[in-house]
Amino acid sequence: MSKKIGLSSFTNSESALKQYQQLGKSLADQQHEKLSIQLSVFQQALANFAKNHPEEIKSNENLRKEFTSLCFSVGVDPLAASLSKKSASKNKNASLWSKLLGDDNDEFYNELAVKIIELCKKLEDVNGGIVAVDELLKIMTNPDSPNSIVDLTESDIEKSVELLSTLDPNFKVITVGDQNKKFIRSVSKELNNYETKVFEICEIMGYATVGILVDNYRWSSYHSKDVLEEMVSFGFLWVDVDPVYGEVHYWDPSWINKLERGT
Amino acid sequence: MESGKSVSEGNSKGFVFPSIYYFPPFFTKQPNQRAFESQIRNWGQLIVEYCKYHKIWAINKNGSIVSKGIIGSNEVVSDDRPSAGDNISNNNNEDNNTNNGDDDDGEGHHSPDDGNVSERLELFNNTKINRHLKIEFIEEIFKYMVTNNMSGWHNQDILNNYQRKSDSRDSIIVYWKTPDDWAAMILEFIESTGNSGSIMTLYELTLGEMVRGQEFYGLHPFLLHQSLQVLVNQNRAQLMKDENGVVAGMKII
Repeated sequence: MSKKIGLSSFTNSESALKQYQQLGKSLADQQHEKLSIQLSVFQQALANFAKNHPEEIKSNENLRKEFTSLCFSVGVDPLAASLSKKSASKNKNASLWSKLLGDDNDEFYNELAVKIIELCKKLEDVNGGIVAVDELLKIMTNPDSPNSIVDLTESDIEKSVELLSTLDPNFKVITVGDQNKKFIRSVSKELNNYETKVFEICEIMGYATVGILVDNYRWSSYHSKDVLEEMVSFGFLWVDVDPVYGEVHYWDPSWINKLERGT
Repeated sequence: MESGKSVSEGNSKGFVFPSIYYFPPFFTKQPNQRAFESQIRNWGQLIVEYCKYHKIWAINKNGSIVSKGIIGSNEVVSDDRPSAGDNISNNNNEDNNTNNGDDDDGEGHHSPDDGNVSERLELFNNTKINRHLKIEFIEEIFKYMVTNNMSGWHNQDILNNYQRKSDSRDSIIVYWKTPDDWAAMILEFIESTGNSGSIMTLYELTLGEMVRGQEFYGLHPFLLHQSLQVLVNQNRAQLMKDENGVVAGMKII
C-alpha cells in the first residue's frame, strides 16, 4: 500500500479498515456456519439415537444418565419440543423425551412434568420434598400467576408424575390416610407408617403435637416425639412454640398457603 | 418459597403481608437448617418490602422504627437529626423546617402514629396469630441482612464525620435500595440536569428545590454518604469538606 499524505490518507486507512472488518466477519461467519452444522449433525445424531434405542435408554440407568448429560452439554434439552424441529425429525411436535417414552401425543404431560419438577425443587427448602397434590394444583392454577395452567386437574398431575418416575424414581405419588390424600415425593426418603399417620393429623389440624398423637394413636409420648423430631430433621414439619402453654406444634408447611387469610 | 403471594386484607395501612407471615412457625427459629435458610431469607425480604412500603430507613431489634420519612423536613421521624452547629446541612435544615412545613411526599404520612420515634412495628409481632419474634432471632436476621447487602449496621454518626462509631448492632439501615442504586440515581439526575462540575451542598442534593419529587428527596444521611462514597470510588465525585473535616458538599466530575 503506497503511503499517502494529506486528507486522502484518512480515506485510505478507513477503507482498509473496512476491508479488514469484512474479511474478519466473513471468516467468523464461515466458522460459525461450520460449527452450527457440526452441532446440528450431532443433535440429529442424538435424536436418531433416542429414536432407535428407546428401550435401552429407558431400561439402562447409566446409559440414560450419560445420554441426558450429553444432551445438556451440547445445549439440547431432551424435554423440549423445539428440538425435533431443529433436527428435522419426522415427528415434528414431539420431544426427544416423548419418543423415549414412546408416547408422541403426550407433550402436555411432559411439559407439565418439567413444571412439576421445577416447583417441587423450589418448595423442597420449605417442605423437605413432600407436597400435597392439591397444593401443587393450587399453585399451578393460581390465576394471579402468569404461568398458570387452565383446566389442570389433580389426575393430570398424577399422570405426569407417573411418567416422571421412569426417569427419576425419586418422584412418586404417595397416598396417605383413609381419605386417600395424594402427595408427591421428590426426594429419596420413603415415608414410614408413623410419618404417614402424622400427615393425616396435619391434614385436619395443620399441625400435630405429642399430646395429639398420644391421644389419637395411643403411641407413647417418647415415640411420638421421636417421630415428630425426625420429620423435622427431614424438613417435613416446621416447629412452632405455643406462646401460652409452651407446647410445641409441629406444622405441615403446606399450610403456609392454606392460612392465607390469617386465623 | 412463594412468599410473594399476597393476602388481600393487609392490616398495615395497606401493606400486604405474604401468606407465610400468618404461618405460626415463621416466628420460631427453625431447627432444620434448610428450613431455617428459607425462613431467614423470607424474613429478610419481608423486612425490606415492609420498610420500602413505609419509607422506613432504620429499625432496631426491639422492633421499633428508628428513622422514617423525609429526613430533614418537618416530617422527619429520626434520631439522625444533626445536633446544632454540626455542619452546613444542619443550618439548612432549620430553614427548611420553617419554609416547608407542609411538605408531603404524597405517601400519606399523616397518621397520628407518625412522629413517634419508638413506634413499635407490627412486623415482628403478629397479633392476629399471637406470635412474635424473639430478640435473639431478630439479631440473627439483621446479621443475615447485613451479610447479604440488604442492610447496613446503623452505628456510625456520619454527620460527625464518623467520630462516634460503635460496634453496636442494635439497629440496621434497611437497603430497600442499595447505596449503589442511590448513587446511580443521583448521578443520573445530576448529569441529566446539567449540574456536572458544579458544587452542590448535601442539603441541596437531598432537600433542595431542584430535587423535589426525586426519589432520593429526603434521603437518609447514612445512605447519602454511602452512595457518595460509591461515586467517589468510581472517580465520579469529589467531596467537599468543611473546616472540621465534615463532608458538606460534592461535585460530580
